[in-house]
Amino acid sequence: MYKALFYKEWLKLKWYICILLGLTLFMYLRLLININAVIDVKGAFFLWAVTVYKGFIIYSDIKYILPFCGFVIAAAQFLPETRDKRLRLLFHLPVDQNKALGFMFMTGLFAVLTVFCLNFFLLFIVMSFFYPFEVVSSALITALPWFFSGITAYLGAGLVIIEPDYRRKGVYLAFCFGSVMLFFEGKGFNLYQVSLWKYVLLSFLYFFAVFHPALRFKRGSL
Amino acid sequence: MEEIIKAKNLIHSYKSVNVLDSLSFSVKKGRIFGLLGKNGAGKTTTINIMMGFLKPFGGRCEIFSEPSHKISPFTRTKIGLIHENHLQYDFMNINQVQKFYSSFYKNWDNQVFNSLVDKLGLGKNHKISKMSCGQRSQVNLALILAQKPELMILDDYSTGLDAGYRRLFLEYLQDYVKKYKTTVFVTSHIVQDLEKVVDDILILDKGRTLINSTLKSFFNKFAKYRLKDFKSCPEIFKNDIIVNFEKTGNDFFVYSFSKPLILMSELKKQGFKDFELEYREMSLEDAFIGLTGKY
Repeated sequence: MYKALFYKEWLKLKWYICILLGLTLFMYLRLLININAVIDVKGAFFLWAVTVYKGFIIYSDIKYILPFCGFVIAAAQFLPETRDKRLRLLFHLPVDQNKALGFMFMTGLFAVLTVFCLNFFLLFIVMSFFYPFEVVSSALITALPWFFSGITAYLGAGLVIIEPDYRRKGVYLAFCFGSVMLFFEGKGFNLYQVSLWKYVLLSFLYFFAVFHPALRFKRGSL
Repeated sequence: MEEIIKAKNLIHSYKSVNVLDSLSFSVKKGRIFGLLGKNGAGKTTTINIMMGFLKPFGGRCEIFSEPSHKISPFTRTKIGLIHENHLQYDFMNINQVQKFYSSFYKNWDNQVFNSLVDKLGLGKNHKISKMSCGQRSQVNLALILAQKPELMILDDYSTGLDAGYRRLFLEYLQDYVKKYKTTVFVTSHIVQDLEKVVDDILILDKGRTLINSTLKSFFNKFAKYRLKDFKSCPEIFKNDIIVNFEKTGNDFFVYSFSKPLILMSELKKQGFKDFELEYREMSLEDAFIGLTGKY
């Protein structure tokens, strides 16, 4: 049964995942070319100076990839399930309804984490071309909150889409936007190094929130 | 006989409008049960309550002896449901929808599915989103027949179907029910189709139950009469004896559950003089309109 549920999610997500992975590759290729261009035009010392002494984050273009991916994956998964009250199809399947919904979110989270890992890996590779390990690890720690924001964006967008009441949708949207932006508040290196786990924990609370609108939908209290 | 669906005193309303007013009925195993009513009579609300998609304000509903809001996954394997407007996962194609649903039902019959879907003349890679409403409904009907459920719930199954396919489906359904002893709960806008298949009927009007009986007993009791040769046509009032009336040109028709003599006496009391009553044959649609009015 879960194999069939995975099959359904895969049918919805496969093209979007390919496009998002392609977009990610494109963004890192662009970053690689840009850094090379800076070295060619202004020299390696300039690159070192702006990054290490002036604290310029040269890879800031990748900031919003993960929240964007999270949003796209949630939309691809849940818009076809909620249009015209289609959630009833899910709720009539002979599977425990909470488990089915939880499984759908786990599948989506897995897709987000795949893009997350690819981002982490590519940032590591690109930075390793030009910088020593100390700078590379600092870049990864700096980018981690941006990557984790993808999970918040995914769960938050899922919550907004599943919610049947438009007023509540608006409230959730504002709350979700605020939660995602929390990961972008720091404007320097390693700023979330100590507190990141708290933000990540907060994101995962959304996972439990998504069951509430689904239950309300099922009970018809729209 | 085992009761597959039991509803007792169901009450529901949307804002201040009463949709169900103490609705009670039961559906026995192997019977085809038709729920009839005009738009907004409460048909879909009843089905939503039965399937646990809506919590009624009052009353209780059980399916296979389980409360409808807590139907277990195992019991759901025994229920085939056609949703209103033939909802389906329209991002799937025929092949994919077959593969998806067949994993959930142990009695799944690919032969039944293929034989019905092949009539569409579409490729197995045809996407549901690119189908007409009629084609989508044919796929949905094939899906629930292939599932071989013990209970079929068909919410306005005829939406979008042409006359030919409606006839074919009903013939298929009758044979299927005989063969597998399936219980069917059906609603449809096309009342005349149901006449040929239903054993029991429930007629709703604004949430009130007008009729809850076997089709045979309904036709034995409810009758339509034409008033012949009447001299005067007074203002007429509906009551327990005169359920409804209609004037078409020079013809005057009266609908009643009462015996002709009682009806004649009531008509005389209301001012009709020197008339005769002529019994008229009715279809289920005539009876339905006679009972609920044209609008």
